[in-house]
Amino acid sequence: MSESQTQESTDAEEPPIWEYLPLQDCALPTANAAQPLKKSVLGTLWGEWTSRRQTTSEPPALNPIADLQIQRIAPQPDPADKLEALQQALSDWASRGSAVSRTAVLIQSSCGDESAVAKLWAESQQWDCVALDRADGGASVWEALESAQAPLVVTQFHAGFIRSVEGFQRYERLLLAREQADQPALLVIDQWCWNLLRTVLPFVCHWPQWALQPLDAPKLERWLKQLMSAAYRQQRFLQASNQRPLFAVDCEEKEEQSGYLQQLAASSRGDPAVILARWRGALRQTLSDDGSEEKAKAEDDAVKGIWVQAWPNPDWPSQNGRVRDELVLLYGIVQHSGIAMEHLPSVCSSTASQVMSTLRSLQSRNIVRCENGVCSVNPLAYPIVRKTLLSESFLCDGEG
Amino acid sequence: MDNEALDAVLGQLSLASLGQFALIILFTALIIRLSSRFIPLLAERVPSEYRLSMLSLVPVVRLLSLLAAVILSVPIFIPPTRENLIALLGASGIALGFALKDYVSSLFAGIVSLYERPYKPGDWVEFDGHYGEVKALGLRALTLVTPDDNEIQIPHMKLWTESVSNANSGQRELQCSVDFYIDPSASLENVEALLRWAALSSPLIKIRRGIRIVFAQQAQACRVRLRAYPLDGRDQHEFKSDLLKRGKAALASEGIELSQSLAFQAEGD
Repeated sequence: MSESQTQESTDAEEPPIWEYLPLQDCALPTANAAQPLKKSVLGTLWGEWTSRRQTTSEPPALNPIADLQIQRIAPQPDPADKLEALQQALSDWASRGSAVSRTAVLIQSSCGDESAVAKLWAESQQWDCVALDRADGGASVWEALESAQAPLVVTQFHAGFIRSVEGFQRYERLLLAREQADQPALLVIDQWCWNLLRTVLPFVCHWPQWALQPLDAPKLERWLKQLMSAAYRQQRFLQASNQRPLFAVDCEEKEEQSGYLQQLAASSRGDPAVILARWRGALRQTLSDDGSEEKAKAEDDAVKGIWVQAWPNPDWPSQNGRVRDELVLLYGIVQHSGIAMEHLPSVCSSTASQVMSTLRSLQSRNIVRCENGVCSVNPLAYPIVRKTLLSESFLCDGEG
Repeated sequence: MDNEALDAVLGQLSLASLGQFALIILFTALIIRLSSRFIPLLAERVPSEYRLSMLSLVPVVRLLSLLAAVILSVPIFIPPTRENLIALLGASGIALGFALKDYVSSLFAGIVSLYERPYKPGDWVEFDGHYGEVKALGLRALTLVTPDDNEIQIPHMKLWTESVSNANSGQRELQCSVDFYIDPSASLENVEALLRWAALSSPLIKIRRGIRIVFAQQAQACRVRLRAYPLDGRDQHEFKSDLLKRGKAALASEGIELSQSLAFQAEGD
């Protein structure tokens, strides 16, 4: 049996990296099989304590990696990779189920690319595809949605929603119209916005809903290896703090794997976009700007092994304490999966100047970023923002 | 006390002892007068951060002066024998018992409040006519901070006679209600939906606790009471303001007329 055949048979035994499952079947990864992700007060305090210790301790000598190398190790994933998984998940509904339930929902994680995947799916199914535009509040698409005469995929469905009386009225009208529509439609919507809508409009809970199964450590390992260019797949990635290999396939005889991937998957809640941002951030830790000579040397050293910054990464943005204005602003941003600056005062019940000063404070701490007039949460900061909002009883993307 | 004993006590009185007593009284009065006059003057001349501390010395000096006067005066009239000391302590005990009756009652009420827990730190209560957040529980009294940021000490003994209204009772959130008075002739068809959406659009609302809207016909208007929970009891006033603002705007957007004779009202303010 050739090597490629062996590889194929191994792959055939392993579950696919990407799976779209009914929402209730999605399970979060845990940090360790024997020890679930710590959520207790003591666990949190211990995490902060160890985080501080690691911040102050001297990191081992790291081989620097250039930006280009990061792009080779962790490039932007291709949405087409998930197309097969989506086709598989929706096959029953698209062929038969849509006769029973005309509207189905694909839930997109906060920084996810499900809209792009759904667009590819619409092309493959020869369905119409429309995208709601944030700029005009989706007004141009409303009529098409309400009077659709052909199967339809609506991407960025949350983009037209603003949390206001008018926003709720429009979405109630639209979702009620979808309830009685003749043509099937797949709505791709952000998980925060969807959780709000299904809480206030419970009739939509009966619609079929799919979400991407969060990545656990084994799938994460396969995905990260798959993303790397071929040259880097042969490299050993080692955790700087304990000198253990990150990937199980790199472990030599009796060598123990570092818990980095388990921690990364658990703390990112298996969200690929957050994982990728953190993975890139960890790789960036090894960058050195000491001069071209060191960089050249580093490129040579990179062949021997790549040392990844110890967990947890001390450069991650932190959000401490209860500052109501900041929490309300973050809630407004996350709930809309990014929101235009002009809508923030009304959504936050605050004046434009107050919003701006809060926004600048969050920007300076790298928690929020604003591009083209739209504010969104930095994926690196997303886990801590979510955790803080959840602890303050805001309606998040789901329970737990 | 029989006559002999009384004679023995009064027999000690002389012109000299009366003069000694008068001197003590005069000296004490002088100290009290001087301290009341000069300590405030001094307080105006020290750095302002010490002013309040200096002023608080006035009652302390007065109390110490009076105590010293009593300690010096008593032996003048009553010889310090064992019998006299026992009688004096007994009489003082009875006097103290009457004087500290309320204090002791508050102490016991404080102990009872620890067991019954009618209020806890962080609760929003209405007690003895005051509404505010319980900041601290002392052994004698609780400290309440009103929405106007005034600190009020209420002795626990009020528990025996007053009722306590606790808005959150150990929970983070508490129910808030806002009244809208709609013109009696206005159509109420959309009011409920509009106010519901208005409440849901508030960033401070705890959605999972639900929203209640209750109508009541009154003489001059139809009262619409909107009840909802903020995320945190500390945000209740901002939350009520937000509900009012959003509710008013929502009603106005649909041309729903508000009663001209009654203003908006928020309960508890």
